Amino acid sequence: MLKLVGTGYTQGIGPVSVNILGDFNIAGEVWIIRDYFEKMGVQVVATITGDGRVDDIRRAHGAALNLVQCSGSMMHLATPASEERGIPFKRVSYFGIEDMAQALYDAAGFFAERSPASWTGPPALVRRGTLHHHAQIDRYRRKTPGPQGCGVRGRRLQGLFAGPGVTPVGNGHGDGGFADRPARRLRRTAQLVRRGDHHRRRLHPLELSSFLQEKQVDLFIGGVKERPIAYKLGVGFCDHNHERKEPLAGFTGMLNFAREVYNTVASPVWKLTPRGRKRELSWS
Amino acid sequence: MRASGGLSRAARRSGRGAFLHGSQGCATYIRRYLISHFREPVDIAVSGFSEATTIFGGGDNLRNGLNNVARQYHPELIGIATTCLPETIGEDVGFLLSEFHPEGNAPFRLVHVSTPSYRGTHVDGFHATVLALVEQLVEGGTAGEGITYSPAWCHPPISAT
Repeated sequence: MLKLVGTGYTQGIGPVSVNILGDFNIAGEVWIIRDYFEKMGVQVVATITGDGRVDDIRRAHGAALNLVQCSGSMMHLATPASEERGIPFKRVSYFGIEDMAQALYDAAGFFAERSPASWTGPPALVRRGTLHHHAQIDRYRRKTPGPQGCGVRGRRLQGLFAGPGVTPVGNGHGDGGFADRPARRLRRTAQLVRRGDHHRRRLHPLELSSFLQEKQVDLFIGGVKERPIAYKLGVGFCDHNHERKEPLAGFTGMLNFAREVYNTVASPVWKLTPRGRKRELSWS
Repeated sequence: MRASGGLSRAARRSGRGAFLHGSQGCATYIRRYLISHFREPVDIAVSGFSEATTIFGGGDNLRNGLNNVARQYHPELIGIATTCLPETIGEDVGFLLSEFHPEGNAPFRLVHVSTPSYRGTHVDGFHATVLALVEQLVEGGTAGEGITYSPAWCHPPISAT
């Protein structure tokens, strides 16, 4: 991909422009994110790799800023772009209301000098995004019973939890990432993970089972290979794999996530499990 | 794909460990489809080939991996399948296993089967594994009273007496 970038013409690309790196358009998420930026008056040149176009990637060097979500896969592009072409990058997350809003504000802040008008974009978008869904998210939060813990794969997902009131107790990162700079990755993760959380690197099934039982979580977020482990332990599960059909990014994604959390944690089927029966007794 | 047939046979009996000698993604791929199909956790250990392993050989990875599996799962038997990488570099898994000495005290048997994906399908891998189990485990003697029937790669084996 590095060979492609720089081989296209940059006519028509304005000074207020970004590339979206590290979103893979799962369930149409890149379209949701792109729409937010365009409503803010920020031109999106290339989306890499979700709904990517070769012609857009060839002219990606015309953008003023790279927004990097999935650091593991995208730093191979963002770093040379910064060092060789002088295109800065910002790390963002589009998961969760706070992180999504922060991404919009970060982009607007970067362009504030060139385009003061871009500052008006984020407040209106964030207000519309949160107010529109807030009542429904709140309704799900109130209906989801009891204290919730959660183990996760993927540290970017931390932003999702505030909405439905999930208390994260653990975090792991899986197959992604490259071997060099492991210390920096851990530091970045430490910044994202709240105090008291536990970070585990690439839990395999046995470790995962003990971790879930030790932490007594009510919800686990993971991929398709983790689902049966969670269910067999009587733990609710929210799917975050690349084949899911519901967007979890952006403001819309927050509502979908709150609904999924409610559906799985509050499912009556857990009353039939030993752990669920014990939990019901402790709540009553 | 050939490895998936072999490993599906190994992975679905308790007391057995499934081990893939090759790169991590190969094991992940097989796990993902077995788990989706059977809706059961399926653990497949892998020796984790990297670029260096491909050049210098996977003996150390294999030894460390087998010891890890033994320590954590306490299996009676570990079935080892191979992927394209070790087969292409000509890794002699049989020799590596003959030199292998487990670190712990609990004994376990090892059965290996050659399953590169560019030769045959998952059905061939399954048949090769059944054959390898018989060839490498059976010690001869008088016939017992039971029978074990392995009907197909997608069906768990059936033992009856």
